[in-house]
Amino acid sequence: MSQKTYLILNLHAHLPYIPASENGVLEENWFFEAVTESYIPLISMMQNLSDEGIKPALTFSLSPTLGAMLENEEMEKKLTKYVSNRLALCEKELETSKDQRISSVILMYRALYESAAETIAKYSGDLITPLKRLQHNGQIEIITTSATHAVMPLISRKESIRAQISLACDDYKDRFNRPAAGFWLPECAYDGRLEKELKLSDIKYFFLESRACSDSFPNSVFSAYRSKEDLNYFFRDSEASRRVWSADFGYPGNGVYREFYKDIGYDRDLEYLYPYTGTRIKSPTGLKYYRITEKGASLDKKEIYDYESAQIQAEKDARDFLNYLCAKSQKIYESRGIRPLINCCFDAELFGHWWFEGPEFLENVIRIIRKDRLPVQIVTPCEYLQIAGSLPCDSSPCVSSWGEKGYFDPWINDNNDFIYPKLYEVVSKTAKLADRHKNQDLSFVFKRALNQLAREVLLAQSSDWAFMIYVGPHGEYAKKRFNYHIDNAVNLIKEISERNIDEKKLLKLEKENFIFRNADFRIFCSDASF
Amino acid sequence: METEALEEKKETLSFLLDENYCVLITKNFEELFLFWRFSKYKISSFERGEYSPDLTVKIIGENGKSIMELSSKWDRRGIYLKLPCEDISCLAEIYCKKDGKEEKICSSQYVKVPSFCEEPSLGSREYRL
Repeated sequence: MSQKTYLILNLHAHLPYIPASENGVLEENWFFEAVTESYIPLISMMQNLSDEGIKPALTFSLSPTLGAMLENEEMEKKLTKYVSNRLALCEKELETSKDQRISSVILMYRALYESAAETIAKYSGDLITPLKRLQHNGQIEIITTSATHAVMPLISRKESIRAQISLACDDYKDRFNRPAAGFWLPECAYDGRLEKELKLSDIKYFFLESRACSDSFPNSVFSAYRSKEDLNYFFRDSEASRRVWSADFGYPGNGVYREFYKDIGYDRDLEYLYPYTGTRIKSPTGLKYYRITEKGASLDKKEIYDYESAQIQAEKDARDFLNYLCAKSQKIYESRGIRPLINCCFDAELFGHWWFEGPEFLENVIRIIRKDRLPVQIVTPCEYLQIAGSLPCDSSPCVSSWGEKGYFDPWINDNNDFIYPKLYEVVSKTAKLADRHKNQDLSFVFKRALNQLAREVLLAQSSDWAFMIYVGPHGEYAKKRFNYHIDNAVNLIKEISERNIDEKKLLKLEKENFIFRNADFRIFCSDASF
Repeated sequence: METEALEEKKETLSFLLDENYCVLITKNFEELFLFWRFSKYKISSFERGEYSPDLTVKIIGENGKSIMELSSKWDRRGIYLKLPCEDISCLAEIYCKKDGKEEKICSSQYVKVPSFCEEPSLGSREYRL
């Protein structure tokens, strides 16, 4: 029996799709922040480790909408401009800074943006390339998730579930030149209907929240299992993940770490910032000079950030995490007689964006395991499945998610339930149109209209809208986006039904929401075996 | 030719005409969300007073037995249902009343209601854009 604890570190990267028509808006800044603060630092971290002969073995879930934006030339140009503006802002801040400690922090940001600029230039803006290369070289495993990150248990019609899964798998194959083995269920939201569709798309494994694991599972969350549909699945160890992710007692809450909310975008004069941000609305810039200091401290009581202290703490926390894992593993071995699999899953944006020192923490975890020869082996899911051999298969997971309260409350409540009747109606009509036209010899324009309808329906199904409405701050924006895609779908349904396509409007929509270039409307057929 | 085109257009439109349906969605171990839409013909029947404004919503288990029943106004279009039990599969049936007689309008698909689990999940909402 292996003496090692197997550890899966699964980072799920997702952002909602940004229509090309939107310039300089909220979502674009989310994208730029996520890229410069999370994705590039994570990619660099993985590459550096790999170059040193240390296999990161991370699992990276990349949503199709994020993948599309990472490959989009227009977004690449805007990203380059964003980084250039941030570098210019750093220089301006250095000129005006009167505090040596602040200047040190600014220099740190300058290095961050310089590294981002270098990485973007190296890959000509295409950040899929380094990820592809890392996977090709066996250093990481990349998996997919549903096409527009829909919470699939809330989708009533099977055509929609099939569309979300099959399109995502096709998109992955197109992007990475190989089929996807793994599937990240958005929000870990599961019900039994999903497995059949995952199987149809040749998925080999998926992930579930720990709540989906009942007492009937012989190894609890510490093993993978095989389902009745002959798929493998992994439970997230929420207890282990909580040490890293909890706002209350997780590592990111330590006082030495960088404070997220105190940003110069809220402190500086708007006219001063305008040349670098392009906006006269108070919004974050990414330049944050203070540390958390202590839990509950008001923003005006925050102390100046010290990067070196934070780096030391990141290493300490990595060691603490590994000590915890080893102790836990030993307890499990003593009580259950197995060396456990510990599956830790997080949003990728936790590392770098929310928790600035997160990438360093991760890197330390990987390095310490190697350096101290700890009995922990980071594995990808495919590697684990090869090692594990036959898996227990008598139990069934429970309907669940990793959302608040463990079910689907964040995505269906008084604030956002208006979404579902509208979605059901457009999906039903789209399915009928798909069935009607699937075997017809269609004109080029007519087919394009049907395909664009499929895209708009998928984009309307994104779980981001319901979630943003639920949490509040960007609720109006989310309502606007949802209604935008629904209105596009309704108009297309009308034009298709009346066989009167407005080609100019169609072209405009195709340019705005051109995602899933190979999307075929027939994925919405009631029997999608075309 | 014109008549043929018109007929084809009518045929294309007709299949998209509205119909009566209801959809059940699981919210958590004790709560479901049910919404419904009626055809234009049904709506105008309600508006003319041909039916009582109160619908009866029945939740039926997999064994065909009634789990609960409640009433809702027809034009409410959606309600949350608090279930008396968990870990079941069920569907919803919607009935209206005409001249004292119950008439089934539509039924939903089956949904699986999870069982209660103590452990809180921490995932979404911890740190999110």
